[in-house]
Amino acid sequence: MAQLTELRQVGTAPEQVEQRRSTLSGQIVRALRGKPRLITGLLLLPGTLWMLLFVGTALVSIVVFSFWTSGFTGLRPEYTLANYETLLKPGSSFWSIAFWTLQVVVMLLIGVIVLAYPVSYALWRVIKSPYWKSALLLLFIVPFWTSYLTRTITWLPMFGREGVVNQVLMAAHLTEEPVEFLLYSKFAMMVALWFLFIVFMIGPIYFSMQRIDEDVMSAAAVYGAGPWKTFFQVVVPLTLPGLMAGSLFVVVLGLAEFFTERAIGGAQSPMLAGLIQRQIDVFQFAGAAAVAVSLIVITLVAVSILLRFFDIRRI
Amino acid sequence: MPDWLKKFDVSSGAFRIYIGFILLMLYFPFLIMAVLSFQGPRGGHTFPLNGVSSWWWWKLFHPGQLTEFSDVGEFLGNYLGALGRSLLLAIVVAIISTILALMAAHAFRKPFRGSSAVFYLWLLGIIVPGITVSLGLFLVLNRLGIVPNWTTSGLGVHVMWTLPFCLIIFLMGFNRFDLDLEDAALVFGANPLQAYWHVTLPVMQPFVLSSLLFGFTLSLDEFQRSLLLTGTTLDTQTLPVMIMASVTTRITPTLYALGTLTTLLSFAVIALYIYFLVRAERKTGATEILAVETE
Repeated sequence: MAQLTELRQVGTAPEQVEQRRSTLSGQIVRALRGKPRLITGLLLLPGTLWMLLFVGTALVSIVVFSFWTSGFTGLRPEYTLANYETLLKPGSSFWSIAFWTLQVVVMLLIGVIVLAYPVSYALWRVIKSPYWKSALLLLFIVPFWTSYLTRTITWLPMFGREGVVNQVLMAAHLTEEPVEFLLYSKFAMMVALWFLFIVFMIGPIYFSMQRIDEDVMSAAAVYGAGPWKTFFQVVVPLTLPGLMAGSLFVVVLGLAEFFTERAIGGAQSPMLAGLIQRQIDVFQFAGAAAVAVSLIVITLVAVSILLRFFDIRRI
Repeated sequence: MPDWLKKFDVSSGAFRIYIGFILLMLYFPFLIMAVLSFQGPRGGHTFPLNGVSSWWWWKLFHPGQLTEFSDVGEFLGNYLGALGRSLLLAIVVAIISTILALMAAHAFRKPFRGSSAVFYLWLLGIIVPGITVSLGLFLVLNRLGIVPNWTTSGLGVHVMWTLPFCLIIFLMGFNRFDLDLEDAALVFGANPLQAYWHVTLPVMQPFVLSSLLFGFTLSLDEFQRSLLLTGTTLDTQTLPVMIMASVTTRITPTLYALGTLTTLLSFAVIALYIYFLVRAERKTGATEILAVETE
């Protein structure tokens, strides 16, 4: 390979071949030769413009509109701090809803990690046959590619007085009466969310486990670390990037979640995104924009904390 | 392997049972949904089954006759029409975002000034909560007097949502890509575009397939961003937006029939992806052998 590169630097063969070509591709190549920054710019331009047009516009406008006034016919460009004053005044429902949102996301994250880690671990070290490894991994990833909405809806018949979970519990004589907290409730919502979000975590953790060198495990053994010590001081730290990548998904999508609460949670305990939707429903657009700004700020803070632990560009 | 390391390879059945339990929780609900879609005409959206019928499937496939055969409060949207729009949109979104993301990923291969600023701008498409994007753009369009539609503002936010995912997939691809392959092509007299077409693209084929799959499936399911941006009438809404609207009315087993149909569709798309992926990897394997021989 080294000699080949040298040959190229001498620069006879390819140049000559190219000069003979008057094809379109040849012409484009000649026009862009020696202008690497132009090429970089041209490659980035369409996508970046698209992102600027949609994310950029949305972000800027939502901040501006949060200082406007809601009128009967839509927003009026009269600047005011009233939206934030109503929102942030002590005792307003915003604080309890924001606190509830954070509670849900933390419970969601902890639950998903606890549920997903043994699965990834089993795929890594318990399942030996490579065939079963990939087949099982695929089974755990497939739900990720099906519809989130549909997967939420599949949880509808699971809860409720006549729900599948209650039926199973009663058939197994674990309970005589239908269990009340399995009705459309906060608890039902959490259970649904755990199993909806677990697919975001199993893959990332498994892929970071796969990269752990067997020698590292052996080295830990040679230096006298027992299984538990190795697990907590070698395996867990080495899977931190995967854990954080999965957590990024869970936190970002969990903070934005409003469908499951509406469909499964009984629409009684909205999170911040649900609050936005309810305000849109009653045309309180300025108020909704103020909540949106606070939700965006919370999300950005959470993401910047998580991104400290790994470089998403080096996955 | 030292003895204790073997202890680490737990052979106990507990892990296997646990894997089975999680798989059950992932797939059992689908099965329940499919069963309930065959609910009798007088039955509701939960158990018990009130007879068995194809009534709700019939309703799904005859949206024109819904007004004749529906009870008060039932949702009257044409799910199949919405599914058609969503499928078409998902295909277009997958192609656009794959092309744009592949172009950008090429730019990211060499370090340049401001690269992380550009990258984080793209990442905002994932990070910013969907409903806030929907609200912001809806209000802007409202001020400008533009009526939202699935083919314009809908397409816009869909691509915005899928682009960062596709970019990350291609960045992963180039992290594992062997630059020598491209060099070899150049040495043997290909111009950069030919080298790209005949060498780089075939090697990147698995990642192109993954990008298409992610673009397609994420778009097919997108409702948070497009909630206010696919138009106000049921004739222009995409399927997820329509489903979102329908769960606020009385839920009927038609929704389960629809869910079963779209889930089978998703499985078919995934199977197609795996088929092409296996084929592509066989080809790529061949290319690698060729490269070794050249050396």
